[in-house]
Amino acid sequence: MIYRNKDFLIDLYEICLTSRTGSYSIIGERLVSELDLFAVSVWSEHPQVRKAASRIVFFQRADEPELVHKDQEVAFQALDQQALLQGTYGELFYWAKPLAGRYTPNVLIVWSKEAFDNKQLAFLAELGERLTVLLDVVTVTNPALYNRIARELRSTQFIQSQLMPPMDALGGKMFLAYRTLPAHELGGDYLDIITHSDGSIGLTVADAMGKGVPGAFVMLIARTIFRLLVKDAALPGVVLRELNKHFAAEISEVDTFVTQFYGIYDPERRHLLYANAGHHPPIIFQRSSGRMSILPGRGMALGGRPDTIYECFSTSLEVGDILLIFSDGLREARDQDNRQFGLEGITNTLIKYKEYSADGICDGLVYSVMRYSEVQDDDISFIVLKVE
Amino acid sequence: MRIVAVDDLKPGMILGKTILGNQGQILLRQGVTLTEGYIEHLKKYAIVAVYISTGRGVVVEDVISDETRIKALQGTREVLTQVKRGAPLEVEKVNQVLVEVIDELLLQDDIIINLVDLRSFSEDLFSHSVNVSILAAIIGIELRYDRSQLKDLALAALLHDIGLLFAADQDITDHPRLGSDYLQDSGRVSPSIGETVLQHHERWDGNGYPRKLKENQIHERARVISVANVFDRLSANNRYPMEEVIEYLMAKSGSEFEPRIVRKFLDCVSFYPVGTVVELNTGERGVVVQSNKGFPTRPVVRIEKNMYGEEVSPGYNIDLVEKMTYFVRKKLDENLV
Repeated sequence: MIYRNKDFLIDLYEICLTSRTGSYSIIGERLVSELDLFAVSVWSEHPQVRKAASRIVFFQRADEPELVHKDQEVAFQALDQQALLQGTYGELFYWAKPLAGRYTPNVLIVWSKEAFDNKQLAFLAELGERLTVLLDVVTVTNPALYNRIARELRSTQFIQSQLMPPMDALGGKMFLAYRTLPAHELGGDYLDIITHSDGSIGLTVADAMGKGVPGAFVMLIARTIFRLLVKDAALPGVVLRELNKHFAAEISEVDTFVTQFYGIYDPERRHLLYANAGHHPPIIFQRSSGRMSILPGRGMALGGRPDTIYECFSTSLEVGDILLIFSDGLREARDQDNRQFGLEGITNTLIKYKEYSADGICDGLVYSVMRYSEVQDDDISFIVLKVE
Repeated sequence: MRIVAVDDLKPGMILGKTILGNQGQILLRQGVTLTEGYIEHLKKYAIVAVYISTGRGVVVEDVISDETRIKALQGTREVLTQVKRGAPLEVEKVNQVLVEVIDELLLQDDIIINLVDLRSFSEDLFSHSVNVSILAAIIGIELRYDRSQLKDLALAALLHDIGLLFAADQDITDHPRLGSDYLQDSGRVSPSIGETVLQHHERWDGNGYPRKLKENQIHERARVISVANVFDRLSANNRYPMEEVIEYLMAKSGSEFEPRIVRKFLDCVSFYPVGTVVELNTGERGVVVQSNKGFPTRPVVRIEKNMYGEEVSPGYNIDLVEKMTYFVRKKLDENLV
């Protein structure tokens, strides 16, 4: 690796600022030629999906078919560990560094035929910092993010994505899976899966009035209180009662509400204890009879009277039964003629995918609702439990 | 590769998969550039659709080699044609072919059905019989049948519609009985094979025919063949897209089919077959390049557009089984990448 002139970065700024498209590919090409590298890539973390990254820059001097896979592996590793990585792959040396951009966490990876000496490593570190700024500039000039509001939304997306349970943190519980499909940059749905110390699992789906920024705000208030109240032994009815009391006090001046379902599932006894604050009742598919039913007992939405009482209900499940807890967006998805997907669409889909695992049933629901409704205009979230 | 209806074929398109006739003859070889003449030829043979290469480098593999399939088709045609002429059933000939099919299937680690069987519409009894036999054997392998059980299953499946050779056109509901009677009279196969053929239209819930048997009253082989039979009828020639065929099997699991057998079969069928174009929840778009056994909705996707909608070249692969935060958001039309 050589570097002739640090000023090429200034050129690069100019090119990126004046060109609206293709900036990313120019970055890769320039870095490779100016620094005499073998290849360069930049991966950008996805703002809404955890542990996901998309490649935005890639340029290699010569075609090396396997490099693309190794490059991807290094990128995910660096993002995952948030650490600088160095190593070799075949005859190539690599250096990978996470760049904490203002709007996008990125990873820069450079590939060289020669080992990096100390001077070069120092330069690469500096390059990383400069590139962080440059990538922020390019990200901002991206038409999708051209104004301040859009940029702030993007930063907020990252925060919100951290509030959702990581899908791979279901701890190998194959009987559980979930999906979240926000309609806008920010979602007004809240979904959580909480493992209690006795092995039981808290399952909650909540839906705030409104979507986008207002929905997300209201949701954050409710979520914060909920998370503080959820304790191992706390009964769902008690949690929702306390949540409502505090939440109602917080939003007394605002006309809004949240609906929430909270259940505690005991996988040993196949037993569900739950309370419901105005949320659409979850659907149960009973394997033995092939029948669908809804979980009875729907209380008041959160944010009404502070002294509302929420009753606890319970139900027993059997192997093969499917429980679906969902937000309104799933039921209210509309087709071109403005007809709702509805309970009928949901139950038909459950029947069609009943032999799949919980994860497969989730994919079946996503597939069916996206096929039904071309344009998604409300947040869609749901949890599927298939009893084992 | 993608499936194109013969009516939509244009000269210059490149054939992605060798086309076999129902008697095992090669009609057109993979890699051939289509001409007006070839297209006419295909129409004459009543071929409905063919695989066309898309230049994406995606290869869709059949579960058995063309060579073995040709042998199976030829053998089946010879034997069934003789039977129709009144000659005795040459079971040894059929068995020989089936042993090859089973051996080839057993050599594979993970069998996943990605390829839709595209074939001539005329006289498709031979293709259908061979296909049901292969599909049934695949389910048998999933059910951990031993070699001899697999052979009986594949044989019964190959002969399941033999009654159609004797059925009057107006009422084909008679064909299980006719087929079974023929086999029992022939004395060339074990009585349980004839019994299986008699039962292949029975349903798990007792609403089938001819005897309205239910659940375990139906021979397990017949329960397997009924799933394979319906799958082939619905999926052949791309009559229904794979996901709709899968939806049908699941919706009818517990009524028409035994749930356990449907579950075993579903492990071998990909919801997003190789070549399908999809959009992920990250906004990335790409093409399915590999299926993951046991995870029908979580294939390996080669990304062709990143989350900003910009093309990435060369594409990178996301294995949805390794990366559980990803999922398929929707299936796209072939040209939407």
